[in-house]
Amino acid sequence: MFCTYSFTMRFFHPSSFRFSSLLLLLFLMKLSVPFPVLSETTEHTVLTGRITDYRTGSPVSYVYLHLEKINRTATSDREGKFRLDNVPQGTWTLVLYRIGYVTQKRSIRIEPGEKHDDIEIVLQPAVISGMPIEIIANEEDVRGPRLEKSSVRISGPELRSNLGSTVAETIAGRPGFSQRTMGATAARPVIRGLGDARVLILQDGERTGDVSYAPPDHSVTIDPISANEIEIARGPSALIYGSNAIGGVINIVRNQIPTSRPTALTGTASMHGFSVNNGISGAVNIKAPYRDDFVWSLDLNSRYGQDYSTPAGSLENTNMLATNSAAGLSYIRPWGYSGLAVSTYLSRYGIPPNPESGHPGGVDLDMVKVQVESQTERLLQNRFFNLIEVQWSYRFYNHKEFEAENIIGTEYNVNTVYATVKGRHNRVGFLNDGVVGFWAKFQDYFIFDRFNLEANSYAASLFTVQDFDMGNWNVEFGLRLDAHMVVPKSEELDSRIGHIRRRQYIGLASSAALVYDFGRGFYAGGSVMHSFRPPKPDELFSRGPHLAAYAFETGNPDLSAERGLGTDLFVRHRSSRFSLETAVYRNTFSNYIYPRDTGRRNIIFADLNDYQYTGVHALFYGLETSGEFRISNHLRVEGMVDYTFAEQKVNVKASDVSGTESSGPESTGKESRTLPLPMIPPASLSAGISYEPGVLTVGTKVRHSFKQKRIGEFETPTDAFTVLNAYLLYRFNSSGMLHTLSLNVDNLLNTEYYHHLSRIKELYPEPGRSFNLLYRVYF
Amino acid sequence: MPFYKVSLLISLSLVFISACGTPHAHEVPVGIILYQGEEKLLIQDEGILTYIERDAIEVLHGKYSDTISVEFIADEGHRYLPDPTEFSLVITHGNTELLGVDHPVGGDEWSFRLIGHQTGETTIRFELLHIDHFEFRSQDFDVHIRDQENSHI
Repeated sequence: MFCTYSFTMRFFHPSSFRFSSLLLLLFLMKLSVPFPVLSETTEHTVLTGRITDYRTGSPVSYVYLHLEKINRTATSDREGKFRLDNVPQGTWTLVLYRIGYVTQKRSIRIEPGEKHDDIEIVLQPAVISGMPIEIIANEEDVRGPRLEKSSVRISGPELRSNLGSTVAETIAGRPGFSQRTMGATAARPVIRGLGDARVLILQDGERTGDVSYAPPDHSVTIDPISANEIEIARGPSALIYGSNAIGGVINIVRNQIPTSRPTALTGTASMHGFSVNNGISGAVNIKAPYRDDFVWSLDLNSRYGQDYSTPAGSLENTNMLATNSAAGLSYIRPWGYSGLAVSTYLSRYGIPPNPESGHPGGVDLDMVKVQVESQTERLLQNRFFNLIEVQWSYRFYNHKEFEAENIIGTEYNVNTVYATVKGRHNRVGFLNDGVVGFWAKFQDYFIFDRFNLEANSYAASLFTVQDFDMGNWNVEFGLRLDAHMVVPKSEELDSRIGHIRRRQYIGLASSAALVYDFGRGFYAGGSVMHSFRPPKPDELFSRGPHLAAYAFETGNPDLSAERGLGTDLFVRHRSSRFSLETAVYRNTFSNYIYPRDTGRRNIIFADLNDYQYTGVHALFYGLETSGEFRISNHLRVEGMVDYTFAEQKVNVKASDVSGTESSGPESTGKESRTLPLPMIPPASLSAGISYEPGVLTVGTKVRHSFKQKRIGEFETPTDAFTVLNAYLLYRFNSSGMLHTLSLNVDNLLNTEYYHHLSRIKELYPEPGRSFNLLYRVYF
Repeated sequence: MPFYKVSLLISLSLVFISACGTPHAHEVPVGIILYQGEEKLLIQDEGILTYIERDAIEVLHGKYSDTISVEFIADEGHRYLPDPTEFSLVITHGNTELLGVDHPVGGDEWSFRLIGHQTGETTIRFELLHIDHFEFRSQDFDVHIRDQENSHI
């Protein structure tokens, strides 16, 4: 038995850094080499233009422009001018966001040699808007099913008015979305009942390198206050990022590596206060040109909060302190750009105490993440590919869980190198522009606890996402071939959890989506996704106490890969006054992996329950509907309903370790029965009304969550509750700068309620009334 | 030098910064035995708790108990005492107004005495601390503090 505790910070372990690891690194380095030798002459297209107000004709500053698919972003300056560098030939969707104006999408076609240096864009003031649902302004620019993908983008006013202290909280109000929590800081999004590794969280298109997918006490290492926008991708486009994201991909866009040269120094400064925990956060984000070809960016933020208050009293040990800062530099040339960014995430937060699970004072987590990333794009003309992108990053992640002063219960140490090469091709035959790529990962994974877990993970993927049009149909499809290998430091034939050994997984994930345009803003469609998720090292080899999660986690080295089959159908209508979307979905899993509470007390840590990683057959289905209706130019109502049903099929002998290659629930021949899965959100509905007479928006939203009595083993039900929220948004211009103020009152009536996806729902209610004030200035 | 080369160099530099201790082996406790003299008071083994003669540890009000010693059961089944230079015993009891603990006794890390401050019932728990992390945490054992005349002792 081994135990290693003689260090505090550790990068690659010499003994684990094998020759194969070195080869992989050299290979990743090699990926970047072709760029300087690509000497073909290229014509770079720079999109420049000016944005004006539809009514007054005056310039509109601080418009956030995003060229989808190729992720070019820019912000218009005080004169309304903008610039997007290095746009390859093809047809692209340009999305424009601006507070106080209708979000606009337009299709832009770039032909070789064509100039796009004087584009005039007119924005229509949003008499009502200022709130969530994207409104389409210029119908002639956005006709066609290609623009009606299942991906969603949260930006501008929606992001501002829903901005919470975590990414999960920020997006939890959307239909089908919820959040798994454990205290105030440890929160992770749940989509249609699916969470953990089935929802992939990315920062600027790459994985975070943290362990938030694992036990519920781990937080996501991205502060939402720095997000320029949040993209949520589902269906085929999710396969660009991973095979496992059947729930969806959440990409927090911070643009740490600038892709275009701003016309002048631009940025934002924000202050955000929360009364519920006497919390405050601040952020400064700056981008500026330097000499002719360089752009630098700086992103500084920090967050502080004391213990949360609830209607039942203070929620002990939920204080937090975090900072998430980054600096980037890009070299932008006619052939493309190359950039580098360095960022850090430092955090200390508390997990509330559980006297029955061995920590009456709670557990404190110290988190450190350092990442270095590089992104290079090369434009190619008159070739099969019009754009080649290489992205690689190194992430060091460490967190320590302090059970008491100087006593570390669990420590995670993860070093990860990611590399991606993507090529975006021109139209080929009937296929529109699509993407083909390669992705690789090397990860050195170490958990220090009673027994330690040390493993290296290797992964490589080939993927493609394509789409084509057939009349009013748009068809999108994607394939991703994944190979994963998890190598424990040492093989153990006869450990307590079974035969610890090297595991390899190869699988093909696929997805297809269809959208039909009926005209007049009516669309219908559906998608199918066959997902592939190899088990994580924790799921295979864990065997240690995790006090903060109230669990002794036991892995299962025999686990096979999780396979899911997801289908959904939707109908959608959008017009200037009315929008409605309804979707139904069904997801089945042949080996849904989750830590099952066995209800048994652990023999080594008698105050913790054994949580056994198990694979079961699982079924999810549900529906979600959301809509918005403009009663008048100033008044708008909105509503939302969602419902998820989830169950698992288990052996009658519940103590069996199922889901293994040799002893799965079906292969044992035993009778099986269905049980609800734990941590599934109850049905909920919400309704809201907002009034916007001008630069001021006031509104209120009421959310009702039904009782959840379909509970997993050893889980407790939660009662229904109704929570009332209110908000006030105000904006003004001064000295050429745009100022915004957002006042949100969460849980206005100070209702005591228990969230079913909270790991501490048996012990503590959710936070009470909170006045949240966000001030942001755009300069 | 192009940025991708600079960034690769920085990354590799970070990768090769390493500092690590050397793993070392020691027993894995899965159980604990409490003795009073030669007499066993209780055994907790593989999660099963057995009181030998009574249904709790009994302590007299106002008097120190005889020295109680602990022994651990390794996962291979044998009994052992950890190396006191690396390991220590942490004793936690539910009610300090009822019960006091004198630990260690005579410099022996694995021995202690109990004293009843008031009559009543409480619990006591034992944890094995290895440098900066716990290796074992027992169940809560019942402790009854009796007056002399009501005691079975």
